[in-house]
Amino acid sequence: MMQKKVCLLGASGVGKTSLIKQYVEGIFSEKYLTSIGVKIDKKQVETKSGPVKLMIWDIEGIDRYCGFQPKYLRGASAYIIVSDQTRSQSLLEGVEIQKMIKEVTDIPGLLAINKSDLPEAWHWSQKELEEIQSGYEKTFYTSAKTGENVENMFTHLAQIIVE
Amino acid sequence: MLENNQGASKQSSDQKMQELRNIVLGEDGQYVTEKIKENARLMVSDVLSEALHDREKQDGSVNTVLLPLVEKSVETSITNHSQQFVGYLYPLVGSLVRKSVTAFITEFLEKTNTLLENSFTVKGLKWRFKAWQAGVSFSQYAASQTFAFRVEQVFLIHSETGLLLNSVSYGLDTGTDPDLMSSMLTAINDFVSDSFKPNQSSSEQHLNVIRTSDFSLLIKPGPKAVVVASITGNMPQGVANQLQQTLEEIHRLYDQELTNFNGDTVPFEHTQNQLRNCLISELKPEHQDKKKKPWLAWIVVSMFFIGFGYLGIKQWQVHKLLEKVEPLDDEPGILITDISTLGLNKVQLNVLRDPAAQPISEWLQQQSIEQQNIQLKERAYLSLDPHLIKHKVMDVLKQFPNIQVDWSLGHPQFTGHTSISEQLRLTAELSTITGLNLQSNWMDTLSIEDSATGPVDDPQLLKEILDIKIAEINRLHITFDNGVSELSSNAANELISVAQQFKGLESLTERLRLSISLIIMGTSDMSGDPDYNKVLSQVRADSVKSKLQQLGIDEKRLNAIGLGVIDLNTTQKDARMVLLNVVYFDTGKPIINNFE
Repeated sequence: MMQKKVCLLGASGVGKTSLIKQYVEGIFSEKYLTSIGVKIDKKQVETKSGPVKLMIWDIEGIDRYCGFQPKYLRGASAYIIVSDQTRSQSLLEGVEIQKMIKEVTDIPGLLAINKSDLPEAWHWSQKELEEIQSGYEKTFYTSAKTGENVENMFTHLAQIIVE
Repeated sequence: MLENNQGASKQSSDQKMQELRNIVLGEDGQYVTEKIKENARLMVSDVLSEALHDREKQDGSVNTVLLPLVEKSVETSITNHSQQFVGYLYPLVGSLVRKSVTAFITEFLEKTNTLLENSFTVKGLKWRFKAWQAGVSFSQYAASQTFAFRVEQVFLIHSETGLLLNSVSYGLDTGTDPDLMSSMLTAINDFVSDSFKPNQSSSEQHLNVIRTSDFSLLIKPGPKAVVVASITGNMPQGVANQLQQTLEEIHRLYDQELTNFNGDTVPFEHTQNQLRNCLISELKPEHQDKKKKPWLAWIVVSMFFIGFGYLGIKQWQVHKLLEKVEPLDDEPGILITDISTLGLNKVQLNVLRDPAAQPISEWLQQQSIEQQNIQLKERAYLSLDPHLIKHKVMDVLKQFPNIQVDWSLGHPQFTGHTSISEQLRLTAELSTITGLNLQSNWMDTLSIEDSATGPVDDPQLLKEILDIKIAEINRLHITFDNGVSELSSNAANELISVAQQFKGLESLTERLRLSISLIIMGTSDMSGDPDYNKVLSQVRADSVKSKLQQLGIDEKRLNAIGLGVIDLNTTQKDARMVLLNVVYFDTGKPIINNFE
């Protein structure tokens, strides 16, 4: 079966871990995130070209003061940057993270605007948002709470990887 | 102009050269081809083997071409000469089967031994308890105790992505997910190498060993792939060397596949063989010796065979016993109703036995059969077996030493000297033998000595004899044909016997001071007119009376009655007959015997 490594990144507290908690099969405790900065989960996804096994590297929350271990991106086929629509800063940090990624690799990425179950509380204009989103393959409005769009996002990710 | 001349001259020289070629080599090189053909066989045979070898080495095409040809040839050959092939293969197959059976038995013994050791020995139970205490499976604990070291699992991981390419294990379920393990291991390695790098310029650091109290992870990094072995016990250097060799071999064989890896692990399926080479183990010294002889298994298997043999012998013995007892059924007066084995060494025997027959215990003794091995259930019955009847007659005759018997006529014919009372007593005794059907003429050959004295004077005895005699006459009946009242010759003969018997009764009743008479009852069947039948039955009774009168019976003692129709639905023809009933009178009152 086809296997692919993907990375999940984003600012602290945007809900990366919650986003995949119910979705994946994992054996490792979340304490790994704080100890070595990464936790790995697995998910098998059906695509038009057959099943794909996604190894999802959930990389510890990143803020402006610390970067992330770029080695964790090595060999990844795609990434997802998660932001929180209740915090304007999280999207900005997402932009920073994407810049760091582009420095080391040129893989496709998706933007997840999380906490879609809560009212939008950031002040980005439509134009600004569109500009940011243009750097991604696609944007998904997701909710870790309701599970909305989570599966769709990973299926789409798998699809663009195998194409 | 000059050019034209030059061109013409070149053309002419080419033409000449061609002509020269044709002369020397023949048309289209014909001479050369012919010459080569002449020697073709020799030339090809000189280089055939080498050429095949070189071409096969070059692109493997010889094998591809030859394979279908060889297959076809073998198929044709087997179809046409199957017997010959059977002949070729026969010795091979025998040897293969022997080897396979030997291997199977050895493996079976070893497995049984391990199972027994782990289950029924003190050590096995102790290990189970300790494994339970430690919270690991018994097999894991046993492996840690038995092996000095053992490589439990080997992973082949793609360096760049951390994706698992292949993995092999010793068969133990360690409960880990190899995919996640390999990715996490890569992450940890990345973390460690980055965190503990002495300075920016130094080369990349790699984890080589991760050791816990229970196991070690040995990591061999390569440029494109990593081999990781999970090992229990004290790992020797040999394992690391083996891992290194395997890693190098995989890099050599799968260099292209590793470089172009896109997440598809199918090309790496065959690395299984190389990875299996790393699954090495070494037994602890104390277990190495034990492995040589699976004593426990041998003991259990031997006990099984001894037990099986013992049961077999017992079964054989009890069947022999059964066969020895079965002829009991042929003994007169003994009938086996059921015979079966009971347990390991007994026979259950259910029989019907005539009390006059030989006792079973006696028969068993004669056959040298131990009675304790027979569970006997005996029930009494009356046998009509001729042998037994003869035996009973002979038994009766023991009381009469003066009387002999002759069986040559198919029935007992009595001879010898006796008194009337003895004869009567003998008759009474013999009458009790069921199935004998005692006939009075069997005693005609007896010589009777008249004796007025003796035990015959005993009135009780005389009465009993009288009753027997009367019963004998009462049993008789004279039959007639349809509508006929005349006596047949058979009937006449029967009446002669009746007359004799009745006369015998007369002398007996005189002694008892009784008066005797014979009631002759004529009957008829239901066919015809009832009135006519009534008359017919009377006439039949009269015929019998008249005949008995002729035979010397006093008319006063004879009473003929016509009973008319007797409705015997089941036996119509038997209704045409005359019945006899003897009555005697005592003190003027008659005692009438019932019909027998």
